[in-house]
Amino acid sequence: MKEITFEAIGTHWHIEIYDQVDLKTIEKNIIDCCREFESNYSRFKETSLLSKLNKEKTFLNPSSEFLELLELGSKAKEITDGRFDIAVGTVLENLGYDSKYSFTSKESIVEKEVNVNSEQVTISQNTRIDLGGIGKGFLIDKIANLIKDYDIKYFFINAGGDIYSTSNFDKPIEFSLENPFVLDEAIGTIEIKDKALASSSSNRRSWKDIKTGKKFNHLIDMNKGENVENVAGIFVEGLNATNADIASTCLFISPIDAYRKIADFYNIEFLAVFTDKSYIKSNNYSGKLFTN
Amino acid sequence: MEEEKKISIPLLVGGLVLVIIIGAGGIFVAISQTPKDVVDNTISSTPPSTTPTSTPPQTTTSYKNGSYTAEGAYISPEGHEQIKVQVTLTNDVISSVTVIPEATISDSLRYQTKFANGISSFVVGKKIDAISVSRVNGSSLTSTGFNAAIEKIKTQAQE
Repeated sequence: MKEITFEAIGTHWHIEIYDQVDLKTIEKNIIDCCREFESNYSRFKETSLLSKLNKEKTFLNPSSEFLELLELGSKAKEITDGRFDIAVGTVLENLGYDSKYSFTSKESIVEKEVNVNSEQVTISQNTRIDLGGIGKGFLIDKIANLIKDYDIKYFFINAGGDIYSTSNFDKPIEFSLENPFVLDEAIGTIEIKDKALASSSSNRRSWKDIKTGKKFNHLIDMNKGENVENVAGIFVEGLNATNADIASTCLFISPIDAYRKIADFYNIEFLAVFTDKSYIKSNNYSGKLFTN
Repeated sequence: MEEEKKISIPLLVGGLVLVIIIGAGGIFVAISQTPKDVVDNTISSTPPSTTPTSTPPQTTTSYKNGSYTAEGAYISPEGHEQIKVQVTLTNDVISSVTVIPEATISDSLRYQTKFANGISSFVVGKKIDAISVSRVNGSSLTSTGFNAAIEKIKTQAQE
């Protein structure tokens, strides 16, 4: 078994490969691919394509990949009746989650106008895009395809807790489900083969406003422009990491009665854990939870 | 695993906040802000969010004896759902609660029942083996940049 570990898009990547292969060129290509993705789409890199769009409000001749990411965003907005919105950038920055990590909230006008066509992308003056909830899953799938292109069959990719896994010589691989309440604990396990796992929880990327002490996290219901209170963690099992990642965020910021629509659209199964530790899961979610 | 929580609706009835949970096991009504000791233990299986943040100011109000009725609506994937709740108050204690489903509640229930299960139990945590950190589905490895920044201003920014 061979491992590749590195940091990219603000998270830790851990890849395990079971096939007998020489990793040298593969490893370099994987890391380069992640770096390139980050330099294109990070809200925190001033030179990224995304920052250029956020600053200049118009972006000409977007690449097909950039268009695809934006389209995924507009689809998710539609499915969640506007709760998921890539125009969340302004809200995050208003809450203090900005490129300087100021953690100081401010008031500024929030707009959500995004127009995308193959020739250009335009956003309104007070709109800022953030691809959180889309980018990581998309990149995991991209890396999985890159690995498969080397005729590697048996591997998994774990990018900060979001996973794509084939198998260990056809044997499913087991993962733990992190306890959203106690960080070094699990609430169960899940075995997967040729599937992706994603999760969203408010416990990690949360901060207190330096001035007011008010607590925020990065998961925003854009219809209200604020955080969701009752969900502790969402765990998603899907066929690819892109859908799993988006669905996980969408579920997190949606009410229970919208879960089915989201699950059906993204073809995923899920487990939702609420802040009172109660949970619901979809019928075919294959994770096994610990019992007392 | 029969009892399932599907939908909860906060309702305001003359200063009371009711949380109504519709599940396969029936319809529960929990009272989140009521005169004194009326809090029903079904409240413990209510997602906290459904406790409205805009609860009435906690005064030691006495409520007038009598019946109070409220209607609640929510949008389900099958459309607009409506229920009516009637509460009878006697000396600040709820002496009866009647929930009257309206519209397509039963369809919605069937649909919800098919969809999700397991609400009657709660998650249980166990320690994760340190070696298997690479095999965790969660947020444990997320956001190194973010964590580094938090670390710098830890005292202010996070608990």
